Amino acid sequence: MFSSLMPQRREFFELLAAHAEQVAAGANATLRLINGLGDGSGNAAALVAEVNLNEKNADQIKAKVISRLHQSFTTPINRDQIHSLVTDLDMTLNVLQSVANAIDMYGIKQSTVEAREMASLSADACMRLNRAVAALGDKARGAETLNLCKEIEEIESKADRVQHKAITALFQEGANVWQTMRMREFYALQESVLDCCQDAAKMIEEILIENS
Amino acid sequence: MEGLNMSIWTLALLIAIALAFDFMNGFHDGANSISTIVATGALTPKQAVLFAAFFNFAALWVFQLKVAATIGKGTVDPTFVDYYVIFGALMGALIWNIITWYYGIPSSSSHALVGGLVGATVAKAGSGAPIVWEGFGKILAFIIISPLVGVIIGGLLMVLVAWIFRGTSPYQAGKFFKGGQLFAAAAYSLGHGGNDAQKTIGIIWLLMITAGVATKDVATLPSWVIYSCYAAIAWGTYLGGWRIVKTMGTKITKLNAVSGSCASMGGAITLGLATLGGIPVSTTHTITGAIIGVGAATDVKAVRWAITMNLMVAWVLTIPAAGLVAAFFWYVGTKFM
Repeated sequence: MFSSLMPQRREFFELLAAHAEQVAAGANATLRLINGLGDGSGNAAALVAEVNLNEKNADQIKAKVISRLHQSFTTPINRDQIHSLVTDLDMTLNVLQSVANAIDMYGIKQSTVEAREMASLSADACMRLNRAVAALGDKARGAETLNLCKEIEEIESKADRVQHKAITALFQEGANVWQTMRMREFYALQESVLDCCQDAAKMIEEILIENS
Repeated sequence: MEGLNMSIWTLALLIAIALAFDFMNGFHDGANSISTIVATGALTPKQAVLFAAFFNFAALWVFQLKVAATIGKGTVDPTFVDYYVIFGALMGALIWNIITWYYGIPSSSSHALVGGLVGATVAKAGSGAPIVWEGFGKILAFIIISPLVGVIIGGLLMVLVAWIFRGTSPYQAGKFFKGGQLFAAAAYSLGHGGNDAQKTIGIIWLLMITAGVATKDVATLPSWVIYSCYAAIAWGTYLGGWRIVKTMGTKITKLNAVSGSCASMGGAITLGLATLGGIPVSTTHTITGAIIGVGAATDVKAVRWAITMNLMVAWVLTIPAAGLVAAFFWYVGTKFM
């Protein structure tokens, strides 16, 4: 009735989509970084720099979202939900940055099958998150968005199983203690990326339910 | 009014019932002015009722006794009105107000009184002949029209404010509106006290004329009548009908400082337009309509439509229900008074 006459402020959807794009790009760079470990290509430093740049860009977008929230009388969706979603997205990229930087910090020279699998699952989840956020402003695409959120949750469950399998392998008898310690930390960080994706997906579901 | 002899005890009883209705009017309709300021936190509940009660009583020094002389005018043929009819009308309105207060329904006390008057008069005449359809029909039509106008003006006001303050957060905009909200609430309370206390003064005055203790000259009206009517409505407001405040302030939609102010202003504008046009509208209906309007502007789903529908049913039922109770008490009055 009157809501269509209110200021629409579609720029919030655009800023959220731009942020999610940085998350997907960061996840992609992290995947390439982990897959390329130990192949002698020497791309690691450039890829870590790429993830750091994605995180920096995302921080600027988040700051813009928060500043706009302070300067907007109306928002297209609940302002608390916009804040929660941008925080979840930002957290995802922060953890991705931690994963990328942990490689140098922990001195990881070779990736494992499980680390590559987790990185691939992270990239999948972030790509779906990007698509879901991009479709958030379009009510007609609600079912598609909801489906993407469900897929993200399935990917997270799969990542849990991979992490479980990876840790079991680490603690097999005769394993190197230092290698076990550093990889356990690394897998935990990788799994946190998926947890953050899941939080963001749940927030999107909440927004969809409230605006359906 | 028919000149009937009335004992001093009957007169005392009728004055007591009139004051009870007046008290209930304050208790019931005080919510109109305070629900938005309580919901938005501009004042605490205690401060709000004290504030509203003060302005209810202050109306004593603001308004002249004009409304007082108009009771019943334009809805029923005054020649049919006697003190049995007034007894029935007051009881009908009083009981309907108690029922709607119990269920937290913001219904109109004025409509309850009109319904009571029409019900008791029709019971006396045995037909609908004494109804003045021109005036009564207008009241019926505006049961639908006035909340709709409230919805539209409240909603449009919210849209206008949203555009004016588009670059400001609701919290900052709310600070700007707090003063306006208090001003609107004070104006409402003043209007409520002025109009509704005077209705009761008018009823008591008519009863005293009938009993031969006063004349149509305003100078013969004892000042205690005026003071007690204003005191009764202010006391009712002070005690506060919290059930109704809760419905208006939180159940229909969630109000913040800005939407609360827009609702108050929307209701006041509707009321002002209707008064300028000489149309009898209910304050309750206009402010409730405006609350719905601001809720719908924020988000259609922000309005609890099931509750809104219940209110509308109660508004439609007010006149017939108060009329039925009034007819019953008119009959009881003729047998026992």
